[in-house]
Amino acid sequence: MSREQHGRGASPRRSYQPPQLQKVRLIPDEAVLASCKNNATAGPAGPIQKCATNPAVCSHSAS
Amino acid sequence: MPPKPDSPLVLEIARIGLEVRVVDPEIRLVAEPAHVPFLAETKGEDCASVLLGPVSGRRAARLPGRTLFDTGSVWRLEEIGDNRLLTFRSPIFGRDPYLSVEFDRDYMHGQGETLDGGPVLTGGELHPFVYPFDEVVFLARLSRGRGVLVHACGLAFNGRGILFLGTSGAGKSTTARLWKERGGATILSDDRIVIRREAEGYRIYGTPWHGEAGWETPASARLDAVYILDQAPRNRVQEISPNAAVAQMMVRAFPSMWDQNGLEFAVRFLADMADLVPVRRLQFLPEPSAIDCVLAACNGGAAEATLRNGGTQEPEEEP
Repeated sequence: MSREQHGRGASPRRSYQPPQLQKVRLIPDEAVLASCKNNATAGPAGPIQKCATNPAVCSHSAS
Repeated sequence: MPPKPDSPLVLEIARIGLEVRVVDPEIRLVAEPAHVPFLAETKGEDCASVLLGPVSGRRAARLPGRTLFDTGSVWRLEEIGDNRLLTFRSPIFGRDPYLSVEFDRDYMHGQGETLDGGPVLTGGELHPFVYPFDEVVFLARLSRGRGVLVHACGLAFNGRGILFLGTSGAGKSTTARLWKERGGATILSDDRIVIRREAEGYRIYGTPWHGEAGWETPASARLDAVYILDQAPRNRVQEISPNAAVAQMMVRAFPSMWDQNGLEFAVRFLADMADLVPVRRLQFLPEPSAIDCVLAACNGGAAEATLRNGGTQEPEEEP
C-alpha cells in the first residue's frame, strides 16, 4: 500500500532507519507564542487579530 | 450565529471546544472578527470551560506556584498543587498580569481574573480570545493526545487536504494567495493548522489564528500530502525521508515545550504521520507554476513533478 492510500487498510511495516543527529533552527519567541505576531515576525499582520503582547508597538492593539 | 450578549462564548477549533463565561452579567463577551466563524451555539463533546471576572485582588495575596515555563515577558505557567496557573503580562499594563487563569491539570475547567481597563476587559466588554490566551490553552489541550498545531497554510482541493509548512516568511500566505487565485481551493488557514488523527487517517483543520485577509475557515480535509516550503529560483519537489521529515515538521510545529509528555506526544504523532502521509520539500517560485508542480507531485510523485516542470532529479539534500 502506498503512503498516499493511508487509512484504507493496515499500516505498512516500518523499515529500520539508523539513528541520525539533525540540527534544526528554532525561532524561540515564535515557537512558544511569546512574540507579537502582528509586528515582530516576518509574516503578515492579521488585520483582524487582536494582540495583547505589546499594544504600545502593535498596530492591532487591543486597547 | 453571534451569541446573545449575556450568553457564554463557545469557541470550537478542530472539534475541541473552549467555553468562556463571565462572573458579572453586566459584562459583555465579545469575540474577535477572526474567531466569529469558529463560534459554536452549544458545547461539543470535548469542551473546556473558563469563568472570568474582573480582578478582585484575591489572587494577588496567594503564594506563587512552581514555575513550569516562562516565556520571559508574555506568559508564564505555574504549578499550584495539582492545578496549572496561566498568567499573561504586557509591559504597558505594568508588572502584574492583565489575565490569570487557574486550570485543573487537564485544562478542562478554569477560573480567572482580568484587569479592568486591560487588553481583555475594557469598557464593559470582555474579549477572551485576545492573543495569546486562547492559543496557549488550545496548545496545552492539543498536547494531551489530541493533535498538533503547526505553522502552515492548509487547504482543501478536489477533496484533498494539502499542508504547506513554513516558518514566518517562508511563503505560506503567498501559497494561499496563489491557490485562491487559481480557484477551486478552500483555504483553511494561511498560518496555523491543527492536525488530528482520526479513523480515516490524518485530518487538517482551519484555525482563526494570525491569518491574512479573512481566509481562516472552520473547515477540515483529510490530509493527503505535506510540503515543506522553501522559496527558490525554480520549482522543485523532493521526497524527504521520514526521519528528516519529522525534524523538519517539529521545527514548524507548536508542541508544549513545558511538558515532556506533550513533547514526546508531538514527536510520536509526527513520526507516525510521516510513515503514512508523503512529506516533501517544495522549492518554489511565487507564481502559478508552483501549483502545477504540487499537483503533479500529488498525482505522480516528486520526481515526475520535478521533471514535468523543467527541473532535474537530484538526490535528497539534508535540511
